[in-house]
Amino acid sequence: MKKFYALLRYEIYKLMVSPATYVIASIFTLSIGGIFMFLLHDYIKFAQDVPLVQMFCRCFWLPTCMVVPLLSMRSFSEEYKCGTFQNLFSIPITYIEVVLAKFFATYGMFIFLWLCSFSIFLAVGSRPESIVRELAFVSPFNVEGGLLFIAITGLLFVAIGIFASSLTENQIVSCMVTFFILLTLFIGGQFFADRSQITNLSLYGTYQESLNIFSQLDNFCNGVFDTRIIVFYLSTCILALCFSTVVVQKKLN
Amino acid sequence: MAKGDAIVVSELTKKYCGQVALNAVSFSIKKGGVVGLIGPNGAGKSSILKILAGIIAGTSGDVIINGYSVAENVMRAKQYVSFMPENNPLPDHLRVGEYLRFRAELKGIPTGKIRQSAEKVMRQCDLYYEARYRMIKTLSKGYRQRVGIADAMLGNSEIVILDEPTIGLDPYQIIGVRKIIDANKGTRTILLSSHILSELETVCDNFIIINRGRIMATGSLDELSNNVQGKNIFCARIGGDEQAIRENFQGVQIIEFKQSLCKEEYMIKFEATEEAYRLLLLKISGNRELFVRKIGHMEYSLEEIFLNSTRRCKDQDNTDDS
Repeated sequence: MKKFYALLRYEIYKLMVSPATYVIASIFTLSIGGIFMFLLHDYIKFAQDVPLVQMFCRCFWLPTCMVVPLLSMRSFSEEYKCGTFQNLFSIPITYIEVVLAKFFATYGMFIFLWLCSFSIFLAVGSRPESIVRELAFVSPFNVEGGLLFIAITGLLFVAIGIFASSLTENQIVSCMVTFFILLTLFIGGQFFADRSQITNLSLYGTYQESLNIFSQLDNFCNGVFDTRIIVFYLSTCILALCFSTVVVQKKLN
Repeated sequence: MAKGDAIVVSELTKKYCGQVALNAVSFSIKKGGVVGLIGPNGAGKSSILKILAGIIAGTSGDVIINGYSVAENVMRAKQYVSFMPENNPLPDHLRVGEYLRFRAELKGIPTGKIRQSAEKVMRQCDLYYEARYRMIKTLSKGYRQRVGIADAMLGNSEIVILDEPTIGLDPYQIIGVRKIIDANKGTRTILLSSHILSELETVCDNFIIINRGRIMATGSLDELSNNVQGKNIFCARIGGDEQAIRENFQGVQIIEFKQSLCKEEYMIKFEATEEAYRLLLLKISGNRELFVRKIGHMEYSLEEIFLNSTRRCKDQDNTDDS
């Protein structure tokens, strides 16, 4: 465990000292700010049924699709390219320890960025004269539910990023692979859900719930915590990390 | 496995996508020995070293490190080994001190001793005053090599494996590396590969010559020298008249007869049985016209042994092909 913590600290440090991380954080903050401004402007103009936070969370796919590939692409690809990877495994550490350290460091950064982004609601909502507060758009339950959903889905997204990074020493390729897998998950899920409603096929209907990320998000924001969804994301995350471990092992040999 | 063996490699084979890199390689290394692994490029040196360090697995065969099989208990075996890979890749974003402390932590050195251990190796490798706080990315090739060697020497690993440790170092730094190896002689088993054969000749007790994935020869310089000869080859440096020398050497087969730089002094390379050699000694020692400067078994340099061994392998391959 001591070695795992050392690796985790090293990975976090690597992220913190890298200028790329700050560029990614800036892109993320700008996109979040833009989305919030756009939604707020829309809310003030027209009456809406859905709370602002829920609407804001529905747009989470866009910053996620940008940030996860950029954060995770360096984790293994860079080590392959520099050759530091072999150096690391000359020490008695397991493959899974290395994969987990990289995963948790990236996931931690991902969650940190989202926590910072949700501070927009705290900042706006805490002001007594705030129009947001007056219109009672911000509910703490919506915020918690939205954040929890992002945290749970983030497990799978970051694991996919780590897996893509373990495949290649080219960071651009890793980034593109992650981006397209995530985009497929978001758009594909929605597509299958829509298609099941049109065709009324029972096969689609069975998996509709686990594929349609946006309907799951709505449930979480409304306080409905479906444990099946949690198990689904957790198990797929573990699967992706297991695949990453196998790929890393194969790459070394 | 003999009691005094630190490393035992038996029938080790490694294939990369069907291509044989190591072909049933077997050798053993005694505890506390300094062994040089020599071979041309692509001979399989780095593959052997990586398998010994537990980084990659062999396709078949086994490696025993201090009694632990690398194939069965790699984690346990790795605890005894420190490895410096070829080209010595290092993370650029860390300072030298930070990197060594991180490695010390990963190597399982107790928390209270991490700083002390890192400082000790930094002093050993002349990094403490000049490079302790420097970012690794700003270091010269020589300093980077020293950081790699310091990392390998970190902790109490009984076996230290260095892949091309002196590459890119200036003569002063090479002497420094030699001193570090000498200081650890007897206490640690050191296995190093290098293309600088004269350097290996100075530091190593034993050698392993490898070519095209096969072991060509193992042993000390004397053993290898005898192995290369195959027959009794002798060498003599004798002063005197050429005709008189030739007359005395009539009972043996002269391979080479040439005049030395000094006038009236000749270098003779000859082949003889032990009995013929003894008779020759008696004959020339009784001859007052001849001055024997030197006579004995032919001594080969490591370079000659290496070239001879690898050439034999090439010849053998050509014969097989034809």
